[in-house]
Amino acid sequence: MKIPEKTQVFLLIVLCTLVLLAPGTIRTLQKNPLPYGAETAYASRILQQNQYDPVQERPTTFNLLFYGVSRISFMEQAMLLKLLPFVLGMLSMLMLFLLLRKERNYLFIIFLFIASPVFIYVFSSLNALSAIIFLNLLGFFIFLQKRGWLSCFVFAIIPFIDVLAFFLTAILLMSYAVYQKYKIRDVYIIIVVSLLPLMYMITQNTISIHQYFDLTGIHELFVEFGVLAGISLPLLILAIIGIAIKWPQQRLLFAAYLLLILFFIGAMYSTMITIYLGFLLPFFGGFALRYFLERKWSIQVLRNITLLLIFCSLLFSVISFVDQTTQEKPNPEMVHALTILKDFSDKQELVFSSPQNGFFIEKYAERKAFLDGKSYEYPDYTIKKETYETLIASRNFETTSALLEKNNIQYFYIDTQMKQQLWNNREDGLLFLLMRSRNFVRIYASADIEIYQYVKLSEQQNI
Amino acid sequence: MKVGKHEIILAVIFCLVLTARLLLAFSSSEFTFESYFSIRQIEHIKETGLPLYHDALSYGGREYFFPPLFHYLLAGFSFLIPFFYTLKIIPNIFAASLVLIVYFFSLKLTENRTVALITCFFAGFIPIFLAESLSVSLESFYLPVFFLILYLCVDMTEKNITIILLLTIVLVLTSAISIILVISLLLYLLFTKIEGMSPSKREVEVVLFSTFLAVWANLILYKKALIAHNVLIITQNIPTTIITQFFSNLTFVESFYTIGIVTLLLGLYGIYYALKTKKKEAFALTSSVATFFVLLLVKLIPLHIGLMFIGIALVLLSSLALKEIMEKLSNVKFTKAPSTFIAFILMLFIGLTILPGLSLTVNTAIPTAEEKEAWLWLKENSPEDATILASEVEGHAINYYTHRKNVIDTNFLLVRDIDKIVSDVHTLYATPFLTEALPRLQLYHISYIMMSPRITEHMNIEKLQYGDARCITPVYTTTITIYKVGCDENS
Repeated sequence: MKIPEKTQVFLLIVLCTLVLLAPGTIRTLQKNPLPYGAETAYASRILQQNQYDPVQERPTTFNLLFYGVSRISFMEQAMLLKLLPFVLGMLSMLMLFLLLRKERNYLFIIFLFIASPVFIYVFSSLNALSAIIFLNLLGFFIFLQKRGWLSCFVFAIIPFIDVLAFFLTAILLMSYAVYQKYKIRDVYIIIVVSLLPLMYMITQNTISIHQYFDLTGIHELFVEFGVLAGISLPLLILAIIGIAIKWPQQRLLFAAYLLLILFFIGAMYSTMITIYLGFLLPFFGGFALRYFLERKWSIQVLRNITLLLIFCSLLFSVISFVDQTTQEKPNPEMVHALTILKDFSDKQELVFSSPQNGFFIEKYAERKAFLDGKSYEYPDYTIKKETYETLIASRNFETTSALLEKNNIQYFYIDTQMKQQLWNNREDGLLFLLMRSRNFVRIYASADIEIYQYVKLSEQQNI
Repeated sequence: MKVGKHEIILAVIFCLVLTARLLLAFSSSEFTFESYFSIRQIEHIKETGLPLYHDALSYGGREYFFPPLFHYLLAGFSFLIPFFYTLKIIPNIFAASLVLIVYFFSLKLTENRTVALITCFFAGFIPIFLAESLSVSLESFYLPVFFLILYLCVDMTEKNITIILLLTIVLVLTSAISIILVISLLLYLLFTKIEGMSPSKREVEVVLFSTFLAVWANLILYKKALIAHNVLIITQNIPTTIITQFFSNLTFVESFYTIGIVTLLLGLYGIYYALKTKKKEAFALTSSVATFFVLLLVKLIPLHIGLMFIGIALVLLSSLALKEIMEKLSNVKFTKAPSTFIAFILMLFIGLTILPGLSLTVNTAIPTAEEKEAWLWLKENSPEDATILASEVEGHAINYYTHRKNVIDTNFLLVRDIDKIVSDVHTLYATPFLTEALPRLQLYHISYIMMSPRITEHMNIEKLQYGDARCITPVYTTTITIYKVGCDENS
């Protein structure tokens, strides 16, 4: 039974709406209406700043998305931060629909696209990825309309949001060109022209191209292991089955297979690559879904149960992921603690915590964080990282106090997650000193959060 | 099915195996240490209808999660048969059923009833399986189910498919071993494809169904553990020191004895024969051997589990070797060659496998009468919220007999910092200094410390060196000593 195209679009919009609004709605029902994610906290704070971060006292790298959003004056910022990712998600879904509607598997691919945790993560909170993915789809759409020169303008925007994203886009573009046997020279021209504005900005020192790569384990790839920006295991299995089905056409899809493997390896180094991988998997998973539906099964009951299981596994991943987002920071307890810190401390005082808490400290306590999610873009990052690791591990008060004084650290924000991840719930390293030394005064404590102040005592008091 | 001579012999072998198992099981009134976890679960199901997922005694209080079907089954049987006899008899019936499964599987592989009978005899007496499945153990149930599924996959009639689906659900509700079944089946499809034999439609469909069922069910069942332990869930969060111990306690040669030299050699020849003749039915077994071998190599599964599966698979593959030998011998002028060979191989098996295997069985760790007495004394003479320090091996038995908390046992899933706990327990036994022991005694709220010959051997110590400290008082002294801990920060 063929569903009319308008009905298809309507159903996809409904599904998209449900999926994207779920995290925010559930959080609100749980009395935590704050949008989740450190990136959102950063974006909401930095939007109004003009390339300078007054809290961290450092210049910010130019980000075209934030610049564009900050220029929107007809809507309140809080509403904008909630609405923009949703709108980008819808537009991305529609763009994908337009891109793929002539493909046999398009409905399955779009369904898997919407039902993937990566889609929810990217488009349910404001972050650079939502614009990047939309621009990718728009650029590909225009490129496939044989207007390569026009697509340059779209692709040229991407490096101003994230440079790595542009290189990943370039790889996808070249792979697609090889698959469709386009003139590879034309693709090179598009890529080079798109890069020209970025090159200019680099020469003018108005943009940084630092990227953060950190080798993580394979468990950091899957949402089932508690990772927020990760891929879904059932979707990966579907994609593998899709590849196995398409294997006889290996010459055509060789580039795609190679790409998937490279992206899989790269995903262990960068969240950006994980996200791209998460958006590639539905293309192959769509083959598998169509295959299961159209195949003549020898036992009909087995077909129905298998399809039900596939649907349940995908649904489980989505529900699991949405459940995770509802537990994500910030929460009212965290905001309350940071507000108290703000009242207690002075503007110039520095707060030590894990980098994952950095943006929240800057947003809600309006205090400088020792490390945050953008620190890697600055030249002193390596030294700061070493200092951070030394402080976390050291039980020697002299070593610790020397570093604290050198870096002018006055406050410590410690939560349950840090205790688990950094010290395995043991009184070790910095936690040992915070709890045992008289030089650290606990100024706030709740079920999950403790805030300490470093107090220099005289030599006699130290004995 | 017509009852002929072979069927009667099969029934005799089954009865022989079951009798041997029951004799060994009833030779002691106790159960293996591991069994006490299951026994507590079964008792709780009988009382409340639900498994004991929140346990106030294990590790001083913790959450479990595990698929409870096996425990429900035994709880169900215990309403018909007295509890003690249920625990002794039913797991052994499950384990003995492997004989029947191996017979039919072997018959399918070789189409030779005599070879199938020899193979099922071998299967009944694989030393490691015999030793590990005499008591209340999950392996006694899921191992036969696993091989039954493999057999039915190889003999995939329409009727069998329904049974396969049901058994896969049973396996998923019993143990995470269902994931390994799926890997074996996927490998089987791959092997058949590589060898140029296309898998049948039914085979592909059944494997796809099993894959999605196992993945989905395990994602739901182990969701908390996945988040808590990440990739370590594959090793069930077993501490690295204990995994290493598994592998270092058994030498390469000794591990062959646990499978049986005869079955090992014949099984390896069977693998070669299967690959040479491209026998599709044997690929399912070869893929299982390969899967478990790789998992053992990377130490992702406990040694005894891997050896059990490999042992049974090799027994089945040995039927191919036996068949080829018998066929060659039947062409020999000496007409009694085949029967002489059968007699010879059986004698060899009894001498080289069953007899050494019996010693493995006899040495299986079960509580001694002295240990039981000491625990019962603790139950009568300690406060209800007391915590008892012993090795992880005795943990479940301590919970069962004393109704008191333990510091550590062998159920490691969902336990945070397990390596640290293992290290602390070892330090508590090995350290000569009370000052080193004291913070740990307080951290785990330890009220009593057990010292037994088993613990001294396990911990590789002679005595509790700080046992004569003022605040450490021996309150029970036989071959086992129990110390009461009365230390505080000022001690």
